[in-house]
Amino acid sequence: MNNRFHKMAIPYLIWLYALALIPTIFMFFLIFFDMEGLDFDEIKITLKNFAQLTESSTLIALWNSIKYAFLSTIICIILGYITAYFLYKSHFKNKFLILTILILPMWSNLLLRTQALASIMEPHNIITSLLHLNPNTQEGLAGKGIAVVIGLVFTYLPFMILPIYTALEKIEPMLEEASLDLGTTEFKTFFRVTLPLSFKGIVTGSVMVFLPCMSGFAIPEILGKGNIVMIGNIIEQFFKNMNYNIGSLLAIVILLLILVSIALVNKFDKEGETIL
Amino acid sequence: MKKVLIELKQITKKFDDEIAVNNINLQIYENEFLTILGPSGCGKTTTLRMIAGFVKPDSGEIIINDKVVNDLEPYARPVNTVFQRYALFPHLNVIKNISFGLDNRNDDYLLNFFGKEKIYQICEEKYQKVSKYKLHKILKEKIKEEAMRALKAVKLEGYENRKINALSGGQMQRVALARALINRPQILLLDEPMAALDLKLRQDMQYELKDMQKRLGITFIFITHDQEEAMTMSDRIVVMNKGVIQQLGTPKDIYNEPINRFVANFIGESNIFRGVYNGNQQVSFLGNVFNCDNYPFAKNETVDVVIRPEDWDVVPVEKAKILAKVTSSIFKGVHYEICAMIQDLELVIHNYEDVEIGSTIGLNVDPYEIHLMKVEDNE
Repeated sequence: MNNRFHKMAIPYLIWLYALALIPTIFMFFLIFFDMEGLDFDEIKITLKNFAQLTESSTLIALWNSIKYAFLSTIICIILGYITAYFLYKSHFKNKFLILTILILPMWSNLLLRTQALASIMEPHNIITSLLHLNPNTQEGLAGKGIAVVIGLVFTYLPFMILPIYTALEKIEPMLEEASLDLGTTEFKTFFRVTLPLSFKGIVTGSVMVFLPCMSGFAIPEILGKGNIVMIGNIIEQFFKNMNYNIGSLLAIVILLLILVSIALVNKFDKEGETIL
Repeated sequence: MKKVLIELKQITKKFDDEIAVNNINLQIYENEFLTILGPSGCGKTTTLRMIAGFVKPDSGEIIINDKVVNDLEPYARPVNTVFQRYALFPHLNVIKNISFGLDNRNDDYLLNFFGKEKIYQICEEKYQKVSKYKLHKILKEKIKEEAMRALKAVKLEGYENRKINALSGGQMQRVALARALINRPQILLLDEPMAALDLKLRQDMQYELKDMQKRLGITFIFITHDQEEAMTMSDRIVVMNKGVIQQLGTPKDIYNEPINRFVANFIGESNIFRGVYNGNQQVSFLGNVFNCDNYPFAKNETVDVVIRPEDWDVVPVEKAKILAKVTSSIFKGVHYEICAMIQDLELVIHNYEDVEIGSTIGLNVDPYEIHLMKVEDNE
């Protein structure tokens, strides 16, 4: 029985080793080399790649990434908590259906969705033409920071709603009654009982939103119109220009940041209960 | 005359189309241990939840301290609850659980709670002046003291920083009790608090609870489906079934004079027979005429006759009114539990001496041990 299941994991393990682990190790070694593209003839061992870490373009991009990811995460926490809380409190018979509708946008392709969003943010878009507004007097959002934030929140909000909702559902309803019984008003009960007990969900959701926001490059590229450069865009640029060494270095740095934050979440949520 | 603390007036509650509680009238006195006893689904928990304020009655009035409290929120009632599965807060440690009720009150409330003059006096002695901030500090210290005292009262000293999930069932219950009592409620509601405890612990807890109720002078309303628990602790018992109060009385009344078949069966073991009241303190059942106490039944009215197993007297066959054939005899510690048949009717008899299985025994019963009940139409 157990063996059969082990065998079923083999394709996944091959996938994991061949397409994730081995390339990562490969990238790790590339950090210490200097070469043209993947030309191994003129290979030189060097540490000069690390100088890229203190380049202002890298630092600005890293700062942008952190700034936009942080902002988007905060907005997602607020919107996500409100949504999850009202769903939890509501008397809908089929809450699963509502959750499905909430994650419905995720069923379409990320690039298509972002592209559609970008075209709405242009001065001349479907809304202005439907309302017969003069596009020349309108100022579009495209290319501005807010466009990127909207795009990030729009894309990653479901990743916040789901863990918070799961955490809320796990709270025993009797605890709220106990709090009311002990003389605490409903408003205070939320802050003293419900919020602390759903905190795990917020932490999990934050990581699930923060990480892709920070490392992604498609959304800032499409919605930022090149005005906003995030670390993902820089890495993409290096790989595009066949500078695999520096690209690898930055990618590994991001990977380390991600590992650290996952370790932090594990500390908060040992049983991993809130990750669906 | 004892003072009425809570009054339920014609309370009815429906869930969808199901009637949970049907037109209940009940007066609960100050400093009383009242038990609501009944099988699951009889409406006892709903009644309790209405007193606590979690459920609003469809009709009728709940009166506490001469005030109608139907629309009063749970947090504003002088009532605290010990929940069935304790409902302790898993994110707080033991001491924070206990002080929860006081931690979340404002300073004005706490000043009245601890006594304004006393707190002002302490503040003056300690800081030589009274300010809002200093008072607040003293109140916080007071809460801590109070919580420690409550912890001691339930014999859990040294557990203050424990996590809730590191406690046993019995300890959790003590924390739940301390958490409710620290608020000095007038009424403590207990919703089957012992259901999750093992027998020995449950018996210890029964005495402790009763003792606590006497000492604190609080009205306890206790919910259970365990008749023995109800008998041990209560001043009065309310027996409920199908949302209706069947009988209200002292444990002794309810055991000795059950009002109908349901109560007789639910409280203790009983032998119930159909009989006819002959008038003149005589009743006939099992083909014999027996003397009994005087009952207000009509002559020749059909009645239910209750005889408790321990009320049978096993006598020599020639002196007996009833003969029965023994089918089993089991040693129960204090007595033997004997099952015997009269034709196809089975009797349960408690006797101090063993009898031979298969033998025929003679049975008598004293007139005052025979209890007659009205036959209800729906039976």
